[in-house]
Amino acid sequence: MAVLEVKNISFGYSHGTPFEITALKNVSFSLEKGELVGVIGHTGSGKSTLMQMLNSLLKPESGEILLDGKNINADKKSVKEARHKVGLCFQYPEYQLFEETCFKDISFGPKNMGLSEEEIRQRVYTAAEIVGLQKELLDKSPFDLSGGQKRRCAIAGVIAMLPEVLILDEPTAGLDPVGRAGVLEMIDNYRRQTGATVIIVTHSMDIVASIADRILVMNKGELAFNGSVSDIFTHSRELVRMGLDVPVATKIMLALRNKGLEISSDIYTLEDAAKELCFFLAKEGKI
Amino acid sequence: MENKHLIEFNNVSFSYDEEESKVFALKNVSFTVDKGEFVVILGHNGSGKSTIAKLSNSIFVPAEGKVSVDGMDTSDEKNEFEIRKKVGVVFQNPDNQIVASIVEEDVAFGPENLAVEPEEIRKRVDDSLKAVGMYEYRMHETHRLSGGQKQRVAIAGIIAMQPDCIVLDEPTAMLDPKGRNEVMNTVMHLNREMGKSIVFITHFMEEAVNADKVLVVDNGRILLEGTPQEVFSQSKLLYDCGLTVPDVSALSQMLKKAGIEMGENILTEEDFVDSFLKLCGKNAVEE
Repeated sequence: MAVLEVKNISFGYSHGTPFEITALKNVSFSLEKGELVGVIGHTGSGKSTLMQMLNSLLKPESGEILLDGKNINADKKSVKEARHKVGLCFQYPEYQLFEETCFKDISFGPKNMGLSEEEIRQRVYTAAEIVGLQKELLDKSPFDLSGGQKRRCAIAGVIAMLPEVLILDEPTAGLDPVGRAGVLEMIDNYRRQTGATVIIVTHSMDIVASIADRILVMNKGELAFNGSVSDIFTHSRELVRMGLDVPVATKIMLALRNKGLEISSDIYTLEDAAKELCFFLAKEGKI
Repeated sequence: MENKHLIEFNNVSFSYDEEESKVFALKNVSFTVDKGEFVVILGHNGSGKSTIAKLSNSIFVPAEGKVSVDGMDTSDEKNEFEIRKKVGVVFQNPDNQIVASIVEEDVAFGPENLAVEPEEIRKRVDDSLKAVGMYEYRMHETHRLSGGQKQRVAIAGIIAMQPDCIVLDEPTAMLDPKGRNEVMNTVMHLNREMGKSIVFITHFMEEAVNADKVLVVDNGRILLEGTPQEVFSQSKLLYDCGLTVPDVSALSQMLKKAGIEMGENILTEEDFVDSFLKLCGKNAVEE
């Protein structure tokens, strides 16, 4: 059964003013348990609005959102439950660190859930381990950490609530290549250890191509595409028109095809591209 | 007297720590930026890149060594005004550097502060907005622009002060693919057509391939300095300090491991496609 079902939701800002904007229009999709879903879309396409719907920070004007089969906006209790079960990690989450120590900061979420002291402690340690934050750092002020460590600490604060659905808005923005790889690895760790569903919102086509099971493409408030990596990136022309792109590997394959080489363009990662090119050269008798 | 170097860092050290036990953010850094030169600075988070940006127009002054802009010492307070006219800085977050609610008013803010005559301001604002391709948006509200558009308005605001050099500190980190392209094309235009010196700080290796000179900063020191070809041929050194090479270079290195020699200096998709076609011989192209 789907963990999260989004049924025909719409939402707008600034109603009744000349600046009225439809942020979401009839969006429907569902997420299965344990899936890793990438959400891409140009700036202002409705990605962030959609994510804030999923744990009831914003409520749809029409349509409904079901978590484990129950409408999250049914009453106060269901809203609260959604906030605990769907963990939302905003862009640049390190700006939201506020406590005296990392330990206290990470424990803020579990504490609000009304867990026992012992359970909270356990969760903080588990979360810190998943994000790769050394135990020694837990007693330090989060403001004394490096940029990469701050990001880890902030994400740990969401992970400590052990959400069934973990949503991360641009988790790698502003990080260097090693930092990016590290954050993606810890997200994967969390998914493997807990079986949770993960949604990653990103501007990087290469990130979604390399890790997502499925991709949602938002365009002007509508869900333009919903499919596997190969389904999505066959629409390269439409994606570019939407202000998006295709992975570098795909671009090279398409360019070679355009030059008349019989090469598969169903390639999304550099590793697969290397394999395909070797295969092609062998077939042509060039190696 | 005309100075050959527009910006010169001479053995510069800088520390954020006021106390005795000095932790240096930069240590003995020396490099130059010439008139019309396009310099890219790469480095992992916390390597000292942004510190360099802030030292380049007297926002920070060095603890040791000397930074000069067109021959003027940045440590000398009386030069501050002239230096800031010559070197403008654009930062990462577009939302933090827009000051007015209307595009053209925002661009006029800099020259107004320099007490430029009103007619001259009008001309500069129009010219700057045209240079970044935002002239049609001059009467738009700034908060309704996309990230890439805001960044271009921020750049126009700098151009309107007619600096000789523009320093951009990760200007594309928060943008979608289209926004990144817009900013990159604008920067290339300023450099190639208008002769502005550019110092471009980034985490995206791909953005360094068009540079005249690339500096790699690690732990507050300059680890590598050279053309993009020279720097990206040192892939091991780059990986060791938390960076990577452009995807295209990574792909040709993967092929190299499989015994396929694509040739040196492959940095862009076009390079790769050309080189691969050559490798295939004419047959493939004719097919």
